Amino acid sequence: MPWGSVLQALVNQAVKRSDYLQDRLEELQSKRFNNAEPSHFLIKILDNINNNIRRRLAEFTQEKFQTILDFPTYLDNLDLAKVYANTIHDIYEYIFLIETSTVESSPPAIIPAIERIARKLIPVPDKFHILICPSLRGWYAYKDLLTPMSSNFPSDILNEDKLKEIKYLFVLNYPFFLKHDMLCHASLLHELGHLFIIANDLAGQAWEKKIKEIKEIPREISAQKILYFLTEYLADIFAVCLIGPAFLFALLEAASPLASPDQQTGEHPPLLLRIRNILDTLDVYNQRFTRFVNFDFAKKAEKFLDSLNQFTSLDNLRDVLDEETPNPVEIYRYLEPALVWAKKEIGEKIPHSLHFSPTEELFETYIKKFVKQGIPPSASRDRDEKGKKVTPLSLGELLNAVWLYQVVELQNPGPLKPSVEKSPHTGKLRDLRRLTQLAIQQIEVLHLYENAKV
Amino acid sequence: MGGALSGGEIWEVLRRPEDPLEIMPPLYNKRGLLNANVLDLRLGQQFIFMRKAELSALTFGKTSLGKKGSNIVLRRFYETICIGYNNDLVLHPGELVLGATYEYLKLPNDLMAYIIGRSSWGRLGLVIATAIVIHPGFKGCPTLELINDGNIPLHLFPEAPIPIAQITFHWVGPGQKPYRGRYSENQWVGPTGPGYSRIHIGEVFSKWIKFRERRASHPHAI
Repeated sequence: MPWGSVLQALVNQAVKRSDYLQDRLEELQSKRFNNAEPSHFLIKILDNINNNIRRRLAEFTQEKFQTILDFPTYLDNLDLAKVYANTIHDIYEYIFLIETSTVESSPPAIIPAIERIARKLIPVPDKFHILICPSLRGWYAYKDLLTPMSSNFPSDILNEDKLKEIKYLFVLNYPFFLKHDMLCHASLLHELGHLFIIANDLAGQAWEKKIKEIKEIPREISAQKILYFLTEYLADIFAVCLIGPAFLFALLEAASPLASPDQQTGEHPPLLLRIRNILDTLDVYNQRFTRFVNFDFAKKAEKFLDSLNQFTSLDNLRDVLDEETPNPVEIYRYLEPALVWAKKEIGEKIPHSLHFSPTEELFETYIKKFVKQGIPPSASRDRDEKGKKVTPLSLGELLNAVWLYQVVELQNPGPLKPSVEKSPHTGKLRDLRRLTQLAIQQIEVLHLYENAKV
Repeated sequence: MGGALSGGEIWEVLRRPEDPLEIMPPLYNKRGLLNANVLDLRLGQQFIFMRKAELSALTFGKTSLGKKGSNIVLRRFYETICIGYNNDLVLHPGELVLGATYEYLKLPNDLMAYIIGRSSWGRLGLVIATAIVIHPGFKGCPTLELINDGNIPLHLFPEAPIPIAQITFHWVGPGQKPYRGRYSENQWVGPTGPGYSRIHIGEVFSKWIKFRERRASHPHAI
């Protein structure tokens, strides 16, 4: 049996794919990316790995194939060739991520906003790369790219020094079909929260400080599950601190189609319990609208939040979620001391200028004067006679203004229209997203002007 | 009341409580306005390019597809791209690109405006708008028809704090009915980027094209 010929076929195939990869990587270098730094870093790394693979594959010469005559020698070489072939396959997945993050294929508006917030919050930002790109089948998610690369790829083709240039390389995904939905993209802040927790080791600290002390956790609740749930709750706290109730509205709209609100998955607690945690966090950060109920928008929004609050009381949820074993409410109870600690810790770690705090202007100016009139609420002007100072709105102020308008004005519970197409709100919902996209773009440009001192 | 508004008058209209002039984001200040009597406008990040290679000519009559068909032909001709502050837009000699202002305007019902170029760009050969009238009640980012009439390629800077155009306001005399067009106050949100040509939407236009087609197929019937 000419075992060398069988191996040669496999190696030739790998060489062809590697050549094609090289073309794709070269083509990518000519593209424009929303996240230029992480994209170019990843292209460089992949290019380096691919070149190393090509070098290794070149060692399989015609003479070498002719010497492989017995099965054991074939197997030894086959394993090596397979490793390279699999690595090439993995590189394709990374390339797909980069290709979807080009300016043409992803919405540019929200990305600079997330990047700006990340730069302020993530320690050592130059060692922390975040790639924000759409996912064809997935939902809002985060993924570590660096760890699997260094653990799965063979060490002889990895340029360790290059990898050491950065500490983290994460991808934040948003669903492709919600590409232009800037309102739902508020959920990206939850994913950014995961990175904030990792960078500050908040889950570990909460575990050490609060959860480890609790002795009575039943054995059937796995520590891994507790840690997963804790991380999700902490990421929610992070997002709430930044954008307040807008995150709750985004979560309700973006997460509802995923699963029934009373269902838990391996990593995510039931949506109802997340809502409970978010409502508690809104109270802690004083982000409810109770002080502004003389405004119609605040009154209606408060009514909605109150009804959610009643429904998600822990006593009620214990009955609603009683089919799950162990009852997720019990896990939430164990986590409560850690969550109280985390709310304080996250609140202190995030600079006060980034906290969302509702003001009268939100209702008087941003909703009533701008959103209701169809004008992008992107900036406020200090009310001095000279009118010199223009302050960009925070992401929290903008998202709350548009979400409150949508929740109160456009999706106010009422009798269903006979036809969805004839609903006057279908177009308005689309226009609201268009308006938000423009407002986010203008806000980010105003921040640039501030930095440039122009 | 009449003629172009002075800087002081523009300032008053910007700050009056009833039906004010809205410009978002407000990148103007009182002192600058009083000196200039015009408002500066910047270049937005969305552009529409023409795909010249895919169409031999823009024609509407021969398709015989009605309104929808003409729309598809036009969309095949246009390609929308985004160029942020990181990159320049390079406008080659003789090239037409549709852009929009970075500012979003809402005109009150008693004001109309003209968008005009800035001499500093004009002297380099840049024409920024040919359809320069903005009607009272208009809402949105006005489309700019950017043409390089010079001999050398020009680098333009989207989203930069560098004015590319200016806008001058005029009072509308009494008895003028408010504008009820596509971008009027009737529509909640106006255009947030450059718009395609909608020449084929006009009733007279489509009637005339249909008339010509009928006449071509039955020359003796009409």
